[in-house]
Parts: sequence; C-alpha cells; structure tokens
Amino acid sequence: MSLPSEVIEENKNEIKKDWQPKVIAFLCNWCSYAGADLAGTSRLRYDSHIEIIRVPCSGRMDPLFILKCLEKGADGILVSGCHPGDCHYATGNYYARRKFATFRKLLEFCGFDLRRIHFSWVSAAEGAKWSKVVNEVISQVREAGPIANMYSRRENQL
Amino acid sequence: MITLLQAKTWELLQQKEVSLILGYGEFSRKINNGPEQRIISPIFITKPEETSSLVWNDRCVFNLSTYLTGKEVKAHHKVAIMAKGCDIKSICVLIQENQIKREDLIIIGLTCQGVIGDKERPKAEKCDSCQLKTPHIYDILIDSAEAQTKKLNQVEKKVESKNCVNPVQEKFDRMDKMNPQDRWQYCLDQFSKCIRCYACRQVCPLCYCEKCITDKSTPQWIEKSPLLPGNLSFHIMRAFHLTGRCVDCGECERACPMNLPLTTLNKKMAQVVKDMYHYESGLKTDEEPLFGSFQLEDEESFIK
Repeated sequence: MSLPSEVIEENKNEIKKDWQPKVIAFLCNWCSYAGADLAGTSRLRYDSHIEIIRVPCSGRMDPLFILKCLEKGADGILVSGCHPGDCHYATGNYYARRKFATFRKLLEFCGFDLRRIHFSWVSAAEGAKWSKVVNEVISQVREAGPIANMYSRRENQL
Repeated sequence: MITLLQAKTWELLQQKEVSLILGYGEFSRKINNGPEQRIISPIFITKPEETSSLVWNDRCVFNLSTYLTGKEVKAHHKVAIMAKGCDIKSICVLIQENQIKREDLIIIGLTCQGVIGDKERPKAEKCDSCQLKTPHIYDILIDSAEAQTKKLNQVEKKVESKNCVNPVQEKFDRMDKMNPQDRWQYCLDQFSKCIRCYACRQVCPLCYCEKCITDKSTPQWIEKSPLLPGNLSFHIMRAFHLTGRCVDCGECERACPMNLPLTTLNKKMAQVVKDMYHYESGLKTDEEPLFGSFQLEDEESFIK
C-alpha cells in the first residue's frame, strides 16, 4: 500500500499527463462570435479546448470577468472584438482597448504569466483568422501549464 | 491667540456661507491609561465658536476629502474643507467624476512643507516627491510656511543624519526590478497576508461606490474569505479601479494594519498611464476621465 503522500504525488502526475487546457473566450456578438460561427460553417478545424461566452461588445468586458475565470480555474483567457472602426456601437472597442492595455500592464507588474491572457480583433469574415488565433492561444496556454501551479508558494519567502 | 485659519473659518460660519467645516482638531487624550497625549483628529464643525479647536501643522496627515462623498456631509448645502495639495488632487478627481460640485465647496488650501510619517520616519513618504506644496486649486489659502519651516528643518536634519531611504519608493523599486516569477511570488507572499478588513477601501477618497463589488454576493465576484486567490483578485481589482484616478495620497498604505505594499501597485499604474496616455490624475477638473475617453492611435500592439 502506498503512503498518502505518494498517492498524492501519483495523482499529481496523472493530472499532469491527462491535463488539457481550459481557455475561456469572450467574443463580441457582432464580429468575433460571427467569425467563430463562420469558422464552424466553413468546417475549419481548430483546438477544441476553448469555451465561448458571448458578450454584447468588447466594451462590455470588465477585467473582473477575467479574474473571476482565473480564480475559478480557467487556464487562459481570450477576449475578442471587432476591429477598430468596425464596432457595432461605433466606439465600444476603443474604450475596451484602453482597459485591456492597462489591465495587461497591471497583471504584468504583478508577475502574472502573460501567456494566459490574450486579446484579438476578429471580424465576421475572418473565420480562418479565428481558428489561427485559437490554436496560437491554446498552444501558449499549454506551455504555461495548469493554473493551479501558479498559486503554489515557494518555501523560502522573499 | 487666534490664528488666521480660525478667524477665516469663524467668518465663514458666522456669515452662513457654509454650514459645515471639515478640519483638523487637536485634543488631549489618554491612550491605554497612559499619560495624556496631544492627538490630531478630523473634526466636523457647525458652530462658529467651535472653530477655536482648528489647527494646521505637520501632524495633520489625514486626507479629509474621504468624507465629502458621505451622506451626512452631502446633506449640508455648502461645505468648507481644509486640504493640502495632495488632498486637493483627490477633490479634483471627485469633481471630475461628478461626485461633488465645485460651487458647493469652499476649499481652504493649506501650504504644506510635508507631514510626518510613522514612528520610524519623521516625514511621510509621499512628501518626498510632492509637487504641490502650494495647492493648485483653492478659495482661501492658509500660509503657515513659517511655522512649518522650523519643524521641517529639524525633520530634514533627522532624515539626513539617519540617511533614511524612502520605504515606499524602496518597495516599488525592488518590485519593479524583479523578474516576473519573483514578482509573482512576492505578490502571493504579500497579499496572502491580507485580512480583508477593507481599511484601504474605507479610507480611500475615490472608493466611493455605495455598494462595493466585493460586498456583492449574488453573484459573488470576489471570494470573501481572506485567502488566495481571492485576496489577489481583490487587490488587483482595487488597483485597477484606481487606475488613472489614484492621486497617490498614500492613505491606503497608512491605514493598512498588515503593511501591504498597496501604493506600489497604484504608483506603477500611474506611471503606466502617464507613459501610455500622457494622463495624470487630479490636476484638472474639466479633463475627460482616462477610461471615459480614447484616442484613435492608442496602443494596440498587444492585440492579435
């Protein structure tokens, strides 16, 4: 019979072996969501470890959504909206851009692994770009590994 | 002896120009049954005769603009507030965000040569880089430079002799120079100490939401127990909500019972915002807020 600590160690390895990333994507209703739809109807293949949440506009995104996802175990985040100038509400993505840029800098300063946070502009006609972006994002999240590893603290404190 | 400050405030109340004065008062208090000590505390004055307890010296560290958004203070038609340069910056942001009206407020500007820090440090950290020794916006200016200069000289001598480093600046520089992994560990170590007393939020003049996102439970956005990763989410969100707004008055770090490096995050964000958008908070009341405006040519190299 193996000792409890060994069992835990074994389980850990098992999790590592079978681990697949879970990426949450927030897509704007008017461009990126339609772009992802186009990728589907065009039968494009892309990595399937992504779960899509539809938002009215990338301007609707609150960085809190991103934090909440990460807190609850998402390994990576992708936020996608219309290209600048194409926003259904004219300016939503311009405001979003400022929020994302500063939020990303804040996470960077905290030492958060930026391979887990991605932003993109994907229009309704860019099904091919969508599949390319998803593959890129998921491969980077795979490199970064499970999010649970991030919260393990080192023994020797700074 | 009646000071200029007391005379001016007496006049304001006597002529019914204002109905409330937010100021600093000095009292004798026994602390823990020890000997009597002279302490400074924020006071709310509604009667002219009470103005005799108003003082202004380098122990007046509090940022009184925190009270301006309170219901009890808003109920008064006109309010006068004693404010140093750094405090006026936060008043400026409150006006910019339509929380208070400039015409409902009489700002008693105080020229300031620096206020005291904690026990280890005779002068507050924020005063080292202060650009507003004379306030940029005020109705009445109280110039007590003379009284303060004496103390300041003493303070500076002390600082020189001890060769004090600025602890806030030191923390910031240390974190800024770390590599990302170390920085992440440092954040985990620091923010796991947080006991979620929310003193930083309560004392902040710009955290004026009637219901804070952390208090919401349906749905719950940020975990409430004082553990990771909820603590980290709270502090990242706090820093983000203050991005482009924080005026670096340093009250959060002063109030924090666990000595967390709270202003470090705020300072970094102020720096980022200045570099990226040439935006500095608290200087103009008629400027568009950072996140309420945009430029077509804003940075987007990070977007795929």
